[in-house]
Amino acid sequence: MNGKQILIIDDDVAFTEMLAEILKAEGAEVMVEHDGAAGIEQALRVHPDMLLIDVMMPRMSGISVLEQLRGDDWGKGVPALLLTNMTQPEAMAASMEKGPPTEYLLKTDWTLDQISEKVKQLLATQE
Amino acid sequence: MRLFASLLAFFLLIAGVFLVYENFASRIETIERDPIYAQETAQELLQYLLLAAIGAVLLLALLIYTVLSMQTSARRLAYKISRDISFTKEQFRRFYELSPVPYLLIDPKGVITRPNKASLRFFGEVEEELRGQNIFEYLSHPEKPEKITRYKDRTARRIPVEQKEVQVTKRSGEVRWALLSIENLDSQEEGQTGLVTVVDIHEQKELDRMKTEFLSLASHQLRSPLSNLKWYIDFLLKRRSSELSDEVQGYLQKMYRRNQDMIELVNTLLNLSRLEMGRLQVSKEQTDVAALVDSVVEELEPEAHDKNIKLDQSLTGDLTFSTDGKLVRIILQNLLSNALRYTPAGGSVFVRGSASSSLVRIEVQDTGAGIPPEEQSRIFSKLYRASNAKEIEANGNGIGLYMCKSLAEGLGGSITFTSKLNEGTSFVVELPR
Repeated sequence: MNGKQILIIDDDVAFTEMLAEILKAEGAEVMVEHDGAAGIEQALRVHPDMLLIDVMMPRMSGISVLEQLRGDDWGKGVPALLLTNMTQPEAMAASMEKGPPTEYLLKTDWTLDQISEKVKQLLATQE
Repeated sequence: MRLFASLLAFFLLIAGVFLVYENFASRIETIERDPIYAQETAQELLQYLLLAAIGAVLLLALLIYTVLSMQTSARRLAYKISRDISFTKEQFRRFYELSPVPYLLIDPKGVITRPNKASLRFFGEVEEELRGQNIFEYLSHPEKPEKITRYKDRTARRIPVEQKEVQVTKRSGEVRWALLSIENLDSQEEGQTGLVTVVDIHEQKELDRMKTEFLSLASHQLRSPLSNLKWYIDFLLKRRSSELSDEVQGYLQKMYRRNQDMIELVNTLLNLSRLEMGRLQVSKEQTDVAALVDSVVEELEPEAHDKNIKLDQSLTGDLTFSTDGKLVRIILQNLLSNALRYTPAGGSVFVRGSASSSLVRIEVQDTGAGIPPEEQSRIFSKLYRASNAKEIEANGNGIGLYMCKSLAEGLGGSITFTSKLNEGTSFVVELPR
């Protein structure tokens, strides 16, 4: 993951800190935003290689964030991991509609290391 | 009957005439030889002729009477039929008017000509207002407005509309979900070519929406703290172990496992809720069940290893078939973790998969505590835990087997078991191909 830029958009401070530490240990450059609107702004400015977006956020849902970004020319093709605790079928459907390099993860099923592995995997497929 | 009698009389008359003729024909010779017999013969002939005339008149009367009475019967029958039809029409009119289901008669353009009482209530209009309106003006669809246009078009082309979900805007402005059907009527009357049925399904739609929302919310609310705990504990164990004593690490590991139990419980509860609410979606596709078994066994390997239980499998035959892998996985996970939970150290758990042309059979066998015979009939009930199970493992939700049975049956299959106390239990799941 050397030199790859990853943007995490999630309102959970502790989670983002822990995940950032793990991803940085793998050599990635990690940016964190705790708010959907700020996240969109950052993404469009920096054009990171990968997005990790939490679905349930207070002011703007991760799905809306992704929708807006997918409307952008660059945003159309950036790989995105949607993180949620929503029951599967609805979440799946939501993510599937948001364009191909989108996957959804059920938070309770994944450890931080497993998430890091998934990020690595998705980045590799983009090469 | 009477006709038959008349015909019979007619033929008798003919026969009579013939006999008389015969009688007199032979006499003519005698008269030619001896004219004295002529007067006698003439008198006799006159008598016969008189009888014949009377007979003919009677016959004619009988015939006229028969024809007349047939006409009367026919007329009476026609009258009865027309009265029956009027009565039936009246009945139907009443059924139509008094039906609790909203009915409306429309013309091909959708103009309402005949709304029944229930439809007036449904649309919140009086008859004079509703009649003459176009029904399609009251209908809408929130996501796909083009559907209404399509139904309008179909109606114009006399193609039926079958049970379509639409929204109806009442006079009051209230919008309600309804099921719309438009049937063709072979009617000569201009404004009555279509029968519209509107069934209010608003309550059901609302309930449905609430169920979905509830499940989404519940799952999120319950899972959030659990996923956080999972990460905190995992992070400490993996990234801060140098700062933690062995004792602390030991406790953290216990905490992690307990948290995982909770996560599993929440998953089970949510699946159960979805099942009970009828929200469980069974989506079948070609599934390699052998790979599923492999995956679940691999998942539970660490636990088996920790408990020093031998976990093995044997899979034969073609185990790829159309089913819902997600649900099969849940059944396997439940059966296997049960087996591990109730088998003491040194025991073994064996998974056997086999197939026939019509069935796929998966057996989970353990050398565990077994299920007491008197409790076996209740083992699949909700929240039931066998007495010896509670002794072995205080924590257990009693939902697992109930869920397995419901899921197996939901997939069209079955689940059975055999068990011997202190020897072991074997659960068998059979699913149709």
